[in-house]
Amino acid sequence: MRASRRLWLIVFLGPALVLFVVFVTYPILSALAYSLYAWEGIGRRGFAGLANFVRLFQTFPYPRLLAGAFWHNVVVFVLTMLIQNVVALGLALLLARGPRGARAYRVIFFLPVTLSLVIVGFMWALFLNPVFGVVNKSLAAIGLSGLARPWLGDPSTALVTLTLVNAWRWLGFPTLVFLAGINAVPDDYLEAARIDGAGETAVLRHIIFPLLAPAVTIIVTLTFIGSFNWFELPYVVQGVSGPPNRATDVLGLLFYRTAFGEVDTGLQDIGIGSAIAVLMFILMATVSTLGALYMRRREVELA
Amino acid sequence: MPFATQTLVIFYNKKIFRQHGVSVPKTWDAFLTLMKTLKDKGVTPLANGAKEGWTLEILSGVIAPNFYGGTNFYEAVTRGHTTFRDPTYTNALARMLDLRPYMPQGFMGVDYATMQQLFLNEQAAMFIGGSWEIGFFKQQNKNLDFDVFAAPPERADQIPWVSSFNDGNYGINAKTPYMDAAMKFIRFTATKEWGQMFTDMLAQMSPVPGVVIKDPVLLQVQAMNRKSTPYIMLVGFRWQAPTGSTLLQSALQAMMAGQMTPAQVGDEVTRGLSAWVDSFRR
Repeated sequence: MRASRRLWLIVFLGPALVLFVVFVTYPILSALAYSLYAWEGIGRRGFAGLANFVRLFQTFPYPRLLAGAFWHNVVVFVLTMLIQNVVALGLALLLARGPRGARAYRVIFFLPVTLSLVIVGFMWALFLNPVFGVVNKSLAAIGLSGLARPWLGDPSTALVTLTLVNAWRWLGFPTLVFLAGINAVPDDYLEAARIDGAGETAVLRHIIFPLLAPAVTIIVTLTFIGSFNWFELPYVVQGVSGPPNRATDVLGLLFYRTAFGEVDTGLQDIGIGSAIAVLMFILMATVSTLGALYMRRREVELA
Repeated sequence: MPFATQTLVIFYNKKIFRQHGVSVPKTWDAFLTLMKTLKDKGVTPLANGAKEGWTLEILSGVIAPNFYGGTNFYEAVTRGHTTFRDPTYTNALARMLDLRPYMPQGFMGVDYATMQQLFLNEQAAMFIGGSWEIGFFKQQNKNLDFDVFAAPPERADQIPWVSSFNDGNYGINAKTPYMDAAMKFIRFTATKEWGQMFTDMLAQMSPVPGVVIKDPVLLQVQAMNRKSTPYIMLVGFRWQAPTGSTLLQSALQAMMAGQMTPAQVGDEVTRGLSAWVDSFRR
């Protein structure tokens, strides 16, 4: 009996475990190893200890690039929480009331999530083009041409613009997760609360929000990982150098271009690139584990 | 075996120049006056933008050599007699700021593809770029009547410097099992027959001696090359990371956005390069 149970475990877990080890564990460990070697282009040279990390923290311009990129990841996380996830919560609360056309709205909000990120990036780059783009032309058409600017080229607007495009793309996902969480709240609880004389705000604060905590844990964790792993959209819209003057540089881009070379100035430096990757991994693994544990403790279980 | 050399130039739309009664400027001041005339008549003088840093490095490669003294400065900086903090260099970069009023509206957000479209669709009178565009421009718009000129120097009696570089090489993997065939091919790329085809079909400057250029625009480029200087970061400072190009491209974006002065750009580039250029360490 015991033996056959063990066999079943191996049969079911084995394939997934093999894939995980080959495609997740091994690359992480090899990046760790790579970061401890000296490199010449993509050729590995001798063992270098922590020299790559020392270079990353001490040789101009790397410390400044690292700090700048990290800060931008923080900004993206905070803005995404404030804009994307708060709006998503609001939309979910509205949809949960079952307004006319709720199903249609649900589909509409989710549509951009189904678009390829590359398409989203190119489309918005065209919309935001200062010469041909529809955004500045629309502003001019309604008499607000004073507001028109090179959204993606102006150092003061580029990162925020990019974060908003990202929020536009992802909005439907947290909306659906929150909506599912709200719909999972048993009607008895709501009814009981209302019979006890609780108003709308009290129901929200004391019944819905506490029971929504698991959904919030998931969304916050995913937003954190998504923000600190951010690469595709900045890469597609802005290219690998985080222009203008690193205003849209994030850790993912910094890692990529130090490891594999910047466009047409390409010099690979796998050592320093791997060092950045290792730091990113440590940061994300630590923060998301601690964060999830903390948030999990605040969740309430349904009896 | 090198396959092409590139030269950095200013493209201009001959039709737009004729329509507005302006001609190729001989001095920097005449160049600025010309752009002001065009702008006053509602024409966007320059197609150039700043969203992609490398197009700004090109812009500096076109504009700056006349003001920093071309190859003399190149020799000095590569031999370690001076750095990019030298006012000779940073004052030359400052001339790029003169161009800002004549670039498209919102030029900080104008990328390379938009630059090309503006020039191809005759929505801008000039395009500052490299000789590799000739073939592309001709192929995209057969009716585009354009030519090139070198960036105008300070005084009319000076012959302008043009930045140029070797664009790439054909090589053989030393471990190839097909060495004979590969050698035969490489030898062919060094023949006049190959160079002539390369030049005729792609409108590119072949390094093979004795090739006869027929394209009138490419002939102009060839004439300018009598006073050419190495495209400074590409030729001299791309050998280790961080490269001079990487440092310069971002810093120039900050300069064009008004966040950095030319002196700060020079300092930034020198500081970054001092990681591997010994003579830049003070």
